[in-house]
Amino acid sequence: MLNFFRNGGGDQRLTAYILISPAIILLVIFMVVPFLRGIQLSMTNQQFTGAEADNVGLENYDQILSVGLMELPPRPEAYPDRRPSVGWYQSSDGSAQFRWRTRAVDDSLDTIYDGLERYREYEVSTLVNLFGTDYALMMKEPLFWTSLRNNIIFALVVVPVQTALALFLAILINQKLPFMNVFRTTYFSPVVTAMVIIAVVWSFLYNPQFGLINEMIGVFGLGPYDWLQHPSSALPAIIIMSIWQGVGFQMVIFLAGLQDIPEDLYEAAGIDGASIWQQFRFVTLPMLRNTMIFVVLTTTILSFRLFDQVNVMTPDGGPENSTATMVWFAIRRGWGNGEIGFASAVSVVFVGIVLLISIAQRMIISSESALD
Amino acid sequence: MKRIGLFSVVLSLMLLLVLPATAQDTTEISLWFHSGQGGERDELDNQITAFNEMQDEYEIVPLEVPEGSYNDQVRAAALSGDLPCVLDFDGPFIYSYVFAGDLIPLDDYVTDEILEDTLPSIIAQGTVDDTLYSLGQFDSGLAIWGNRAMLDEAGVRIPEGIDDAWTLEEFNAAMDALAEVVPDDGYVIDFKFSYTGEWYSYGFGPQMRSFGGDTINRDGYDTAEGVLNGPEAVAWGEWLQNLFDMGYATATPVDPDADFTEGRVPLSYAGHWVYNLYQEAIGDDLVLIPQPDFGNGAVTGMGSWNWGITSSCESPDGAWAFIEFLMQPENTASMADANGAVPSRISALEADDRYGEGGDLYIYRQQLEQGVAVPRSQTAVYPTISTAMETAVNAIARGEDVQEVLDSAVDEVDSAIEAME
Repeated sequence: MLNFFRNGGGDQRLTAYILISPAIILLVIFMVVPFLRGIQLSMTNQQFTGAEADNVGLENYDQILSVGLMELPPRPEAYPDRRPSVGWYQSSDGSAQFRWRTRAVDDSLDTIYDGLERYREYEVSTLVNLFGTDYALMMKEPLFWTSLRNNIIFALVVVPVQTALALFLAILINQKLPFMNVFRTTYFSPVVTAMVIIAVVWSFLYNPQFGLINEMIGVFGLGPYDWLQHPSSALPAIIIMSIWQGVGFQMVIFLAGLQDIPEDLYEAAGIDGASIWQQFRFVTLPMLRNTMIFVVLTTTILSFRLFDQVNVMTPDGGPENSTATMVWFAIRRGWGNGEIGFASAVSVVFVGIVLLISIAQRMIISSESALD
Repeated sequence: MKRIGLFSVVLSLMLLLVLPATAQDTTEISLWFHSGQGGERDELDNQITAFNEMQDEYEIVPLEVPEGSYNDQVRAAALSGDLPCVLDFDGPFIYSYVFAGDLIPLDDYVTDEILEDTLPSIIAQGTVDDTLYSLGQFDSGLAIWGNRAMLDEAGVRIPEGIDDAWTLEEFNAAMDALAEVVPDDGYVIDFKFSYTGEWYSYGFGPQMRSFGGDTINRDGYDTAEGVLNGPEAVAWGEWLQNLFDMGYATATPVDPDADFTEGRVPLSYAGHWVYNLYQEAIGDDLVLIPQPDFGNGAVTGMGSWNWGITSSCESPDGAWAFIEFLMQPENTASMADANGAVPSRISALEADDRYGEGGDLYIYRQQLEQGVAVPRSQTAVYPTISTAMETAVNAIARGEDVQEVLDSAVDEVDSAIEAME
């Protein structure tokens, strides 16, 4: 048996296939097949109820991705007392808003406002005023775009902050001081705890009445804040807890990278008169380059997959959907409303977006290395 | 050698234990139920054990599924063909299950004795298109729990029955008066915002209806436009939002049950399921206040968890034998004892002092028998109404624009109706 694996020549190829086959089989069964099935489902209107599904082609994608800019009719002199189904009204905060309830209108919308009929299936997302004319940014599925926006904000904050913090912590715990293992274990412990448990604990910490965080900032005369109930603070609150939870993982990878740097480089730099900062800038950072690339790529992908903490802390997508994310959106539509076909299409779009971002990152990083 | 000897002894013992069980001719019947409150769960366990012991033709094999996502899991199981034989489910979901063909009719099994002695609301809940699909051991009761000592201190009138229920003005005045007597870390009314899922449709749908709105247009069930986001529904939303703005209610309670039992909040809007807990904690101070009339007549929720047989069941006779056992008056009575609900067998209800005039739970019976209780929307898109209401009520409590919140809820319900067509 041993000879079989050791044999050179033509047998080597066979050996290689045998050795990789378990991995390939598992990969095909659990990754490739479900993904292909997802693409197939995304072109149907499959429902959870098990009713026969029809092929709808690219309709789901059209629903998700359709965006339009609609020129609105001029604002009226006086706003109506009751909000019209379609038209201008004054919202409770005094601003002018455009209500667009096309389902409430039986006849052609063109009889009310000329040229708006083709936006019947759209919803108003944001009003913009360009050169004195009001426009409405229209989408068929505004919540998808809100989710995408939240994902991007989350990634833009979490990737740089978490990477920098992880590097800082890794340098701290890389010193040869007593009890260093205690600190390493402490920083790493949130990573091994289940995210759901951490999210439950943090929703208590953020509680406006009894939460520890409000108690603590109350000492300095701040707050109390409705962390998870206010549209401007809900996503930041989730960002803070996510960084706290995830930073230990990147820290350990940086630590491994730091310990790979030969000590004599620092000695040589020290003899050349390099200060601590210069040693960090010209020895540590360049030597950590590959570690850094790995950390940035994985953090980006992980931050786009944001779901667990959002679903536990703000199960309904947060105030004004400020914590809705793409995965949350797919699960709400698929699992909550039973629209499996539509949710599959959302997942496919999601994979496409993450793939594009990863490829773009790789291209930027490799073009930088060409400059070196 | 010694070790092998011991091993074979153990093995033959195990075989001896296993053999008689496989030799017997029992049919296993799978069953799913929602993992609700402790007392209810234990009582069901007892009844399953009793059923398994009293006969040896069938054996019920129960599986407990978490309540928060119960309906989602049932639908996932339906899609993959893994439904159990006997299924319990919350009343209004019956329309979507029947629409999907997941349940079989019970008409051929049910006896006249059961039909005549069961609350009409239970029969109505289990009937779709004149066909009976499900039966339940109990109906739900929904009204406002009050702390008599705190209400008296604030000088708030406690209604005797449904005929002198609070009006909207009286309710609002009670809020202001009670705000004066609650402790610093307290609030006036607990709306159970610690719950997730079905609660928001069950609990707040009736309030909306009492204001004149509803969760769907019940005339044809083909849209929610103009009803769920009409002026009456908006009036309800603004009223509810004001209670949160004034600090009378909280959307972020940590342990609302304890807030009531420990005297931090004088009113608690919750169903029958908290009765035993509250009763043990504050005893004679516990009062049940009938659902107020918010302008369009008092309305409350009804319907509760009930049992059906799925179309994938291979031994529906056994499944029925179990449901029939559950529906025996003494079993509905002991379940109602365990969870504070209204027993579905009329004979059990009449034998229960708590439902007699002056009894702790008499209001529930009045509400059910005199038309205050209204079923939830009888439509196959009910699951979407349920999630849309959960989102909307939470958004309103957080202070978002009521009209916009309800418009989005309509969009969600109406697109589900369109997807169904």
